[in-house]
Amino acid sequence: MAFHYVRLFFQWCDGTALGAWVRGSTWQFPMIETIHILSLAMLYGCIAVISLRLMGLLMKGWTVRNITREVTPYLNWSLGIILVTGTMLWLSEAMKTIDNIAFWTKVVLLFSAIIFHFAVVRRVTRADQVSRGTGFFVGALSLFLWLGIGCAGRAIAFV
Amino acid sequence: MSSLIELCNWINDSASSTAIRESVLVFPIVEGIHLLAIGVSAGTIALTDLRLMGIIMKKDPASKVLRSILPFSIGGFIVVLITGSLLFWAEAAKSYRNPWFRFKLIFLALAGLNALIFHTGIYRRMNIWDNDDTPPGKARMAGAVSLVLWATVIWLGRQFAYSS
Repeated sequence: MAFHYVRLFFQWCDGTALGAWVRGSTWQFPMIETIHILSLAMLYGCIAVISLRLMGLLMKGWTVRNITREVTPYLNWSLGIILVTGTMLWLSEAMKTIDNIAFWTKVVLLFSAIIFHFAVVRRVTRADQVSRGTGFFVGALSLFLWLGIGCAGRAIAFV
Repeated sequence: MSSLIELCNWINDSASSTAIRESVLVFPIVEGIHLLAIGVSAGTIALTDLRLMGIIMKKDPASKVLRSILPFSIGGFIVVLITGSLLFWAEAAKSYRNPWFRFKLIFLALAGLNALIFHTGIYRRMNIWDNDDTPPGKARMAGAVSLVLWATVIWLGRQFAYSS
C-alpha cells in the first residue's frame, strides 16, 4: 500500500521539466553522465586513500587525520556533484528504475555509505590515534559500501 | 588499414569474443570492474596531479606524495587495462568502426606521453624542488595536462558506449 505512494512520487518525478530536459535530446544525458563519472573518479580516489590508510595498508607516511584533512574538500565537492548529476539522471528515467532491484540496492548502499562516512569515518579520522582493529574494520566497510554503490549503479543498466 | 579490420573481425568471430559478448553475466561484471578501477586509478592520479600543481598536500614533499599514491594509480590502471582489453575483445568489430574509440586511444596515448615526458624530465630533478610549496612550471603543467587528458579519456569512453 505504501509503495503505491512511492509509485505516484516516481511518476511525478518522471514528469518534471528537469527530467524531461535531461531525457529530451541527444547530448544532455551522456554529458551529465560523463560529469557523474568524472566526479565518481575523484570521489573514489579520495575514498581509496582514506580507507586504505585507515586499514593501515598504504600512505603510512601520513597520520589518518592529516590525509583525511587533505582530501576531504575534494571528497565533499565530488560527492555533491555526484548527488546533483545522479538526481538529474534519475529524474529522466524514474519510472524505469522503480522495479529495478539494482537501483534499490544502490539507494540503500548510498544512504548507508553517506551516513557511515559522516557519522563514523569522519569521527574516527578526527581522533589522534586509531587502533589497528578499528581502523581496519572502518576502512574496509567504507571501501565496501562505496564500491558497492558503483557496482549496483552499473547493474541498473543490465538488470 | 584493411588488415586491421580483418584482425578485428577475426577477434570478433573468435569463440572467446562471442562467449564474453553473449554472456549475461561476464560482460556486465567486466564493465563494472572497469568502472570501479577507473575510479580508483583516475581519482588517485588526480590527487597526484593536484600535488604537482601545488594545490594539495603542500607540506609534504612531492616525492613522498607520489611514492605513496602511485601504487593505487598503477594498480588500478592495470585492472583498467585488463578489463578494457576484454571489453574490446568482446566487441572488436564495433569498436573498430567507432570514431570515439579511436579518439579515446589517441588521448590515452597522449596521457601516456605526458607521463613519460614528466618522468624523464622534471621528475629527475625532483631533489631540487621536492619541498617547494609550488613546484616548477613544468611540473605544474604536467599535472594540469594530466588532469585534462584523463578526464577527456573518460569522456570519450562514455561517448563511445553511447554511439555504438
